[in-house]
Amino acid sequence: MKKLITSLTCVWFAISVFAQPTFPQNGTADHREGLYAFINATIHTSYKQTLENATLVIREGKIEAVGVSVVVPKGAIVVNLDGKHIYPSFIDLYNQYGLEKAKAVGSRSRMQPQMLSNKAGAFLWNEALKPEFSAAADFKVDNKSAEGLRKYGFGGVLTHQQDGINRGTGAFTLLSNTKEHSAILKAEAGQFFSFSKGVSTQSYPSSLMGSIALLRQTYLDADWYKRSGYKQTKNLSLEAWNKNAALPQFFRVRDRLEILRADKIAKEFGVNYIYLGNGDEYMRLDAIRQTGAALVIPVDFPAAFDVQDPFDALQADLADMKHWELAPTNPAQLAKANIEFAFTLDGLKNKSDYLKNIKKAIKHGLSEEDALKAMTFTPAKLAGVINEVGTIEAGKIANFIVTSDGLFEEGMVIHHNWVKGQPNVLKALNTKDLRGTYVLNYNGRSDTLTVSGGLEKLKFSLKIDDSTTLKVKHRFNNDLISLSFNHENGITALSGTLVTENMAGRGTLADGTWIDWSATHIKGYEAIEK
Amino acid sequence: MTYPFTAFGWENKPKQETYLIKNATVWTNEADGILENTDVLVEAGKIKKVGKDLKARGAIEIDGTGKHLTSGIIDEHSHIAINRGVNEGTQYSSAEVRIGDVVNSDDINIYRQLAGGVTTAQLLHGSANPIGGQAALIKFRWGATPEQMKFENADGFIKFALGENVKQSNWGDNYRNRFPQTRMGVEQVYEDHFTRAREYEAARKADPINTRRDLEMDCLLEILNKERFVTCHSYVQSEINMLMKVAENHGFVLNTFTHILEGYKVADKMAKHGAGGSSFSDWWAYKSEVLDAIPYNGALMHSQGVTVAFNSDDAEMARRLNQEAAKAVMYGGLSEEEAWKFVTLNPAKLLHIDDRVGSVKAGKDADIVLWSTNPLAVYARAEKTFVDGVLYYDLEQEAAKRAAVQTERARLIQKMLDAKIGGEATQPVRNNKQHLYHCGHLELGSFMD
Repeated sequence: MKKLITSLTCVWFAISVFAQPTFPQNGTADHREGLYAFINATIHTSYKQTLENATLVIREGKIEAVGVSVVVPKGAIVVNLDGKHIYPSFIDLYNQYGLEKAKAVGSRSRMQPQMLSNKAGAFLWNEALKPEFSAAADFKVDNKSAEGLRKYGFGGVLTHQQDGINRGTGAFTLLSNTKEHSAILKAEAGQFFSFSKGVSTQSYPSSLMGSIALLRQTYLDADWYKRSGYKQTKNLSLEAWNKNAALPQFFRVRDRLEILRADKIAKEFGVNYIYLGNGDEYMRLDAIRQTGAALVIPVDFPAAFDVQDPFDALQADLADMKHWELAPTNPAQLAKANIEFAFTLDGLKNKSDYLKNIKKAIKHGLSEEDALKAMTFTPAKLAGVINEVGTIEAGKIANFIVTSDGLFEEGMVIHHNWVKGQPNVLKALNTKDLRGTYVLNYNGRSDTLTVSGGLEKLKFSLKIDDSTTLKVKHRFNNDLISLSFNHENGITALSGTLVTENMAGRGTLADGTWIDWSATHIKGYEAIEK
Repeated sequence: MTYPFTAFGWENKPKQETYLIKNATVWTNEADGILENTDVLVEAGKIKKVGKDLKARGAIEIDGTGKHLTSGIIDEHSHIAINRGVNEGTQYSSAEVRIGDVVNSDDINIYRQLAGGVTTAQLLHGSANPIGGQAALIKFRWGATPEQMKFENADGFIKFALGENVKQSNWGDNYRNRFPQTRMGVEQVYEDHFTRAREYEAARKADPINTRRDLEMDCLLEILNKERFVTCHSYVQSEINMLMKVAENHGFVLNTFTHILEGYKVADKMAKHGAGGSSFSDWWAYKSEVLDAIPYNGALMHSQGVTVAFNSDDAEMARRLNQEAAKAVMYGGLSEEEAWKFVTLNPAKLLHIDDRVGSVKAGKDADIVLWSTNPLAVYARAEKTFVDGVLYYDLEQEAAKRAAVQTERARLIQKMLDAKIGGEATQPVRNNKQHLYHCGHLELGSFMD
């Protein structure tokens, strides 16, 4: 288990080099099973079940076994979590990961009316309707963006191009650093709608009622096309529209009344929409509950107004101020009304606010269980991938995070984010507190090495003699340590590893001679009373 | 929590009660005329009885001494309570769009107009197109959802428009290629669309499976089959004549001409055709085609037997339509009773809802207003406004309501100040200037989000 993290990183690189099925391989095969066993863990297998002192075994990117009496298989790399927590990683249903932002087709000279679509091909007359767009076809793994999401505990997203009245399909992808073939879990995971025409330069529709009429007419046209229209005309958009009807349907709305407006369309054409709202659903809770629809809600609670100046305060709208106060209660109110909902981090300027604001919602009445459900289980269910992700169960994909504490505890830190069995180390486990006093043995000398300062800002100093204390530059990463200090004729540079409380390794003197060194721990750190 | 979620929303929505308004001057709008010292009993959302010395056990009594009781004002031409666009001005016919899809129940103007004695309004599409969109008729049930506000089982209407707006006279140089660009072109829009609608009807009858259903044509067909009625924005006499002839050619009656500022020139023809006139009382000279407008227009049309209404087309003016009605007395010498009908019974007739509202008569909906004095006076204030027997506006409560709004504002401002001190991030105050729509409002840049 020593040098665990080093071995994890090595294995991870090996896996990413492993060739895809159907791809030729240049070099010898080096397939690693990725067999790990996490023991002594507090495993939250789902939003409603927690196992203490449990074991999780993963292999080939999948969960092989999870439970309190699981036997660790031979050859597994064992990770002792010592009570730390495992949660299913989070899922975001409103994302554009791996996709380019939509661009208008052609251009129109400013303000000139554009009557028809600029898009060539046998498609719908209106640019804002793009049922033929497939996110999976355009999707490209973007590890930098993925990293930005993994950092906050996310393991999978439903990605779609966020533009237009009909946006085509979205794909469910894992946030893995692999080729697209491994990242895409479900290529056609949903069809997306909104009332905004987005980047379309076409004049129609220019009003909300126009968007609604356009949708209704297109539903009718799609039905006509299916029955007999296809004999008169070829329309690839309508064909896609009809094909997409079997998928979960998501509808992006801008306010609570738009949920009711979209629902009228839904009822008229016998479809079910999952509404991506804007957080004001509590204002018309009853009416929204009666639609029977599930929701995806943001947690971008509005900031307070700066009303220092009384004239500014005069301008503040009462409804906006009331919403500032009540927005954090929205999730709790939805839960109380038994409305199924998932969270999204859409709308947040800083992704770190996702967990922060969910904790705020918990303070305002949401149960921790309902919060975790909305972060993991419900989004998986709504995207139709609950058999693969969303909980930690044998047979599902190894998508989970390791946290220092309960997810909603103060000071909780995400240590690892495992995506499809790939480790992503955010903060190494067992970050040792190095502070204390050591005897540094090197080049025949034994000097006192003191480590002090803040946990994140260590200070190393070396006492050469009664009058001289040198400042020591240090780098400490995982279990690797390097020290250097300037004495007499130049810099002595030492490099080694941490072994329990002591350090040892090799280094060079100022003249380039290689030496062995060690640091023996003699006294622990005593915090100075403030 | 309030419904709606704005200032002056209800914490607890008011309910239908039994009210007995006693000893008021009642403007019945019926053959009885204006009755003094009369009582009105409201029960289960209806006007139960109108008469002298009425008694009702358990009723909430309201003293109407010195006050006037009328039916609620009906605004035939309004653009309030509409979300995100009053015009679909990108095509010359937008019959497929529906104001009913975008009713905004949370518009404070609803509350303000209740304070002006308005109880029902027809929300119209703008005047960007010769053939506009389908209208919505709502009662001002403040606190309800959009669907709950709609006037049940009312006839469907659609907005047409003639004149400068629809031929894009004033839209700027970028808008010169949409048909029609002339008044004669406007006539052909109707001829063409009605002809196509009949062809569509025949095609669908002959082959319902393979004929594509077209929402725009469906709507036009409803007009031809007298299932939907037209209210048409119009100014000059030539186009008024034109549209009546087009309607007659296609076998239907043009229900209402709105604005109709030259209606006085063709009032006899309007009366013969059966068209109503829903006008401004005295707007004039704001563009070329209204230069011949005169404030006697309403009275002159009325004298020829045209059903005349005064409307607002404006969120602010709708709050004082009672004063607009008075102008029919001032310009044209109508009796007070006849003038009052311009904003009550006549719009009800134009909207085909006079069986339910528009007069104080037993059996009709209890959409009534208690005024502080003669409603035609500039001093008059609506003291109580009822819709379906629910007290939606009460002047007595207004001071307390405003105080409550102030208290709530102060509380939240303090809380925000505390939050800032406590280190919370703040944002600058957003100034949400509310869009007040009028007929010509166009989202020309298109509304993008």
